[in-house]
Amino acid sequence: MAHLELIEICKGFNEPVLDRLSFSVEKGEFFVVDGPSGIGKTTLLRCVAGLETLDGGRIMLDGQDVTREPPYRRKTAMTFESYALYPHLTVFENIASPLIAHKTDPATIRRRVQEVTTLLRIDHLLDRKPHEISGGQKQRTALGRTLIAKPKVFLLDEPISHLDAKIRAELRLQFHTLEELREVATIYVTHDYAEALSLGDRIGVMGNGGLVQIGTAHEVFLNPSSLFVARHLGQPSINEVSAELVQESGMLQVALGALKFPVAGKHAAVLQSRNQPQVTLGIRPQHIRLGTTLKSTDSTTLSAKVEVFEALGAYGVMMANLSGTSLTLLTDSESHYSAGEDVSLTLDTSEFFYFHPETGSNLMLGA
Amino acid sequence: MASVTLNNVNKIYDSRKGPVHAVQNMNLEIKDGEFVALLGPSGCGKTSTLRMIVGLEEISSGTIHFDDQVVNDLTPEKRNVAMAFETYALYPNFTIAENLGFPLEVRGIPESERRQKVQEIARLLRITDLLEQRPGQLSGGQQQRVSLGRALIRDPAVFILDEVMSHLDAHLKFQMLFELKRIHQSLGKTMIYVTHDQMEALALSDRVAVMANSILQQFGDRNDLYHRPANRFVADFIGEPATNFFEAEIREVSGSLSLQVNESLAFEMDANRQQAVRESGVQRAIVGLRPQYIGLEPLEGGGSVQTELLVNEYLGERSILDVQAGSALFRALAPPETSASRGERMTLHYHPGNVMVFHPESEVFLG
Repeated sequence: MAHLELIEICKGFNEPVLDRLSFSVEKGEFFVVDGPSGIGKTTLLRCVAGLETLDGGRIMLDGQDVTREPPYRRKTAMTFESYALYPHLTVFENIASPLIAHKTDPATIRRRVQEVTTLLRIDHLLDRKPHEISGGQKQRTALGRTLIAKPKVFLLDEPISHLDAKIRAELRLQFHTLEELREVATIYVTHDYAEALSLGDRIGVMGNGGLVQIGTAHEVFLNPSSLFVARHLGQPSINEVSAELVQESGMLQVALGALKFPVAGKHAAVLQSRNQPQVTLGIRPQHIRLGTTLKSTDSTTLSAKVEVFEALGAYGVMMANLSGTSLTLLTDSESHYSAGEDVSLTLDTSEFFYFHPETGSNLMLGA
Repeated sequence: MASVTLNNVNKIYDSRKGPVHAVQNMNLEIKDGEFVALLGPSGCGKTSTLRMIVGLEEISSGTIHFDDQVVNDLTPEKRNVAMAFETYALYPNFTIAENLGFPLEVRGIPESERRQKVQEIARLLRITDLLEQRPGQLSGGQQQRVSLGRALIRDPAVFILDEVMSHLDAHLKFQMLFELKRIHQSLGKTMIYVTHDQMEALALSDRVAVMANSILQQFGDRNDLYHRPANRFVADFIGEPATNFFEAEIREVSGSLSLQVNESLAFEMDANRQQAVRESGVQRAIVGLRPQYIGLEPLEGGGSVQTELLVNEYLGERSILDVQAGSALFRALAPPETSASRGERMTLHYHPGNVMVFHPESEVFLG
């Protein structure tokens, strides 16, 4: 039995934010909801917490229907993107506040605060007030206040998105190792796909009204159910190329303007059976290589013209024109390329995605 | 257009707790038409510097020149500086065309000329088809462009962008980076871009001024910052994932110097670095090694270290390995296919030419 179960929940009537959205989270599971900003992720969390009333559907916690329960009876704890710390209370008092509200005895409070703050490495800040600590420390204080309540469900709303890259990396590592999270179901909301892939036992990619795909990091990244998912996961974004599939010299080929090259062996049979000659090709920037070094047998080398090149420190980003199509690819940061220069591109066709040109569904998946 | 020169510029604020030295002896020479980023963590003095350049803040001592003219006592208006902010600050009741034309209207420019300028700017920013819409109908990225357009339309001598992209989500940010770069290239204006995001700074600008603790730490191009950081702060601030740092003792074995971190971790240095360490006479040093430069593939002429894997963090395009060697914890980059799991022994490889060595006390770059 799932620990937390959302059954066809709806919120908003005319323009539904959540439209019959369903998923369940197991005890000990870290479930990440990942989607572009403004898509309704926070609304979803607020519905689970009981801060919003559902317009339809049910929420089950531990087998109990909590749909009509007020927030304080749901045993959920939520951290907000804005931290929401009490400015006049110290770090200790902020973290202890849920226990004080429950009239826990002082000795237990002290022990629990000590445990949680040691875990989060803020035990040296207990006497400080929120304005005397950094953003990252505030974030950990808010997290501590969530952890200490020993809820059944943790709801984390972009808890690390405001922090600089270095602290984020550190907190991400902490989420991986927090034992406390093994006892509860966690829903973590983010718009950062790298965070989602890194943290989620499973990831639900959110589109308009609901989750468009649920799966492990490998599943959603390597087998996106639609162009929407593929577009959201990855930076720079996946290249989207309109192409035609044609049968030539006994092989299924991709026709891109005047260019033709064979479809990879592992894709050919399925695509053949789909009978969908117009496709949107999805090519991740890292599956286009400069030069002619072949990594796999399923690759093809073509010549292109550089449009733009930017060195970005660790790597470079190039846009190159391949027979009228502009492709983004990654290069090393040491070399320099100028606009108009001729380059050869090696496309790793075994890593291509094929999407339906209208529905965007992944043609390799499903019946 | 103008060059911007700061000579020994100081900013001292009076506060209840006594004077605060927000900018200390800042010297900076921005060439005519150059794109410079002012980069640093919050509170480093970059905003004060910017406000002095714009004329929103009095200069406590020192001089600021635009070309040959001292501008210390000129109002912002007289300096002909335009500024675009993090918030879009568009008039919600005006159409986009009216928003863009407003700065010209205030100056009493006749309508026909105004309309022509609006068209020009709209073409440059690729928002021609939005001119009749209102801000509320636009996406965040589009609003950002309009706000840039409104600043540009005055044809300023110096154009300043203050954290203009921190609102945008990652995909939009990427597009805007290219867009801004293109705008700079087609206008050739002197641009100063203020940000706390090192990736943006490196991607956009010809040179980056890195500030910390009210002091300019380094002014250089991306290669300088990446491979020859002035000190530990710069090495730490530039690059993602963040640089690994170790404290090490200098060991000499048969005339060759190496960096001993602990009983199970040591790094080799190339001849140049050994020379630099010898000349400095230090017995200990801080070692910096970027995660990009330590990985699973053996390198010609490279060194290797034995580690144990703590976390294999899958991020889609790549994986970050959190590893341990003795008591030292650090990170390495690996291809996403890496299947290693916790507890596994791993040999990691690096090139001695990528090992950065810093002075143990002053933290200045030695080689």
